[in-house]
Amino acid sequence: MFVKALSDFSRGVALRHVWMHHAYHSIHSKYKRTMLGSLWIAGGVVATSLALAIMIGGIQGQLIQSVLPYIMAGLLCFSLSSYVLNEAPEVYMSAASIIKNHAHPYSYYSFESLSRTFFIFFHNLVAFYLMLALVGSLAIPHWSILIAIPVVYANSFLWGSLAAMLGARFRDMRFLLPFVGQMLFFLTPVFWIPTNMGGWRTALLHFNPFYGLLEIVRSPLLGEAPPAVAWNLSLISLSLGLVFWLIFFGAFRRKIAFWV
Amino acid sequence: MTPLIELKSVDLVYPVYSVRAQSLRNVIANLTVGGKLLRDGSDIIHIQALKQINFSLEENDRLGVIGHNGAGKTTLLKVVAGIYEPTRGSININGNISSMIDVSMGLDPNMTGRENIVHIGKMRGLSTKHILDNMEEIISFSDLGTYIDMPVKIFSSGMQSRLVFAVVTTLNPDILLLDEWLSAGDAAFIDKAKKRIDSLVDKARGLVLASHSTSLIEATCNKLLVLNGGEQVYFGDVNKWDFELAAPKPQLATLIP
Repeated sequence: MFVKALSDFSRGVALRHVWMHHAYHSIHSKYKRTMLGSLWIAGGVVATSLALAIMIGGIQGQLIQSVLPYIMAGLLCFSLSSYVLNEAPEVYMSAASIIKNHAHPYSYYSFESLSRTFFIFFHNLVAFYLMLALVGSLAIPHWSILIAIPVVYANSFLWGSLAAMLGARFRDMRFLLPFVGQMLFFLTPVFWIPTNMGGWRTALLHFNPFYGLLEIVRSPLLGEAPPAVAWNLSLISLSLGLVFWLIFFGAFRRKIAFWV
Repeated sequence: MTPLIELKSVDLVYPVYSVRAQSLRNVIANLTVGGKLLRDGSDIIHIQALKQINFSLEENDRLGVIGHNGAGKTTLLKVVAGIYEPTRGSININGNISSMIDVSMGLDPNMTGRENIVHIGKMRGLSTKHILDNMEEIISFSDLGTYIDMPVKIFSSGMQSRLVFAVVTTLNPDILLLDEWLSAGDAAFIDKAKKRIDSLVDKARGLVLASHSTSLIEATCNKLLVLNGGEQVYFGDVNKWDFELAAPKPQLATLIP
C-alpha cells in the first residue's frame, strides 16, 4: 500500500519536466493577448494589500511603511498553504478527462497545480519588492526561508492530494473546503497582528497550522527569524500530512479514476 | 523471452457512484442511522467489467480486440494502459505504452497545432528536443498544411484526430494502443493511417487495436482477442477465428476422423 503511494510519487517526480512546462504554460496562456500580460497576476495582490493597508493601518494605528509589507507578504504566503483548501479540491476533478484516458501518476496533477501556485508566488515577489522599494522598507530575507519554502511545498502537496481525493469522492467537499479557506483567511493573522489578539482567541494562533505555515515564510521575507511556535505548527502539520497521505493516498489512489 | 504484455486472470470491478453516494450528507446520515433509514446513502453499484482475462503478447505481436458495444474493449485498453488497476489478477508490461484512447486528450484548444504537438508529446513524457526533431515529419503526415499554425479550437474533430494520430505514431511507437480511431478522419486519411499502422509494425514493438472493423483487424493483426460481456471468448491466431460464424474455426484434426 505504502509502496504504491511512494511509487506514484517517484513517477510523478520523474515527470517534472512535464508539469513544470504545463504549469508555466497555463499561466502564460491565460494572459496571452493582454496588454500587461502576467502583471495582471500581481494586480490583485497589490490592490487588496493596498486597500487593507490603508484600513488596517488606520485601525491598528500603524504606518503604511510597516503595515503594507506585512499585509502583502501575508497575502502572498497565505496563498501557498491555502492552496490545500482553495485549489486542491478541484485538482482531480478538472483533470478528469486526462485521468480517464492517460496513466499519469496521480501525484503529477498535484505537482502541476501546486507548482502553478508557487510560480505565481515567485512572480508576485517581484511586485512585492517593488512595493517595498516604493515605501522604503527593503529588507534582506532571513536564511531560514530556504528551508521554509520546501516545507510549505511538501505540506501543501501532501494535504492537497488528500483534499483532491476528498473533492473527487464527495462532491460537497469541492464547495465546503474553499469556504473553510475563506474563513481561515480572516481567522489567520494574514493582515492582523498576532500580539493584538488576547483571551481565548489566542487559540487561533496556537492551534492553527495555517498560521505556522504562513509565518515561517513571511517572517524571513520581512528579514526576521520566525517564532518557534510557527515552526512547531508547520512541522506537526507536515508529519501528520505525511502519515495521512501514506495511508489514504496509498489505499484509495487506484479508485480515483472511478471517482472523477 | 519475457512477454511484452501479459495479463493473468485479470478481473476488473468498476464502482459506479450514484448522485446520492457522492453526497456527503447522505453518507453521514447513513452512518448515524446505521444504514437503515437511507439505505441508498451508500448507493454504489459494482459492475464486473472484465472477468478472467488471460493472454500474453510477444514482441512484434499485433493484437486485435473485437466485441459488441460494452463488451469491455475500451476498459481492457485502459487496464493495459495502466489507467485502471485490476481488482484481481496481475498485469505485466515490458515497454512504454503510447495510447490513443481519447482523441482530444491533452489538446489545448487555444494553442496552435504546432504548439499542441509539443504539448501532447510532453504529456507523453518526451523531451522537447525529441519532439522538435520530429516536428516536420509530424506536420507533413498530418496533412494539415497551413492549419498547423491555427488554434486547434477551429479544427474539426477529424483534423484533431489526424494531429494526435500523427504525434502518437511518430514519436514513440513502443507499444501502441488504439481505440476506434477510424471513426474520425476522411477516407484518404484512413487509407494513409492504415499504411502507417502497417509500417509501424516495423518500428513499434507491439500494437493493441480495438475495432469493429473485421477487415482492418484481419489485415493488420496476427492475434485476436474476442470479448463478450467482459469475458474472454477467444484468444489466439487471427486466422483461426471465423468472423462469419463468430466462432473458432474447426481444427484440421477434428475434421479428419
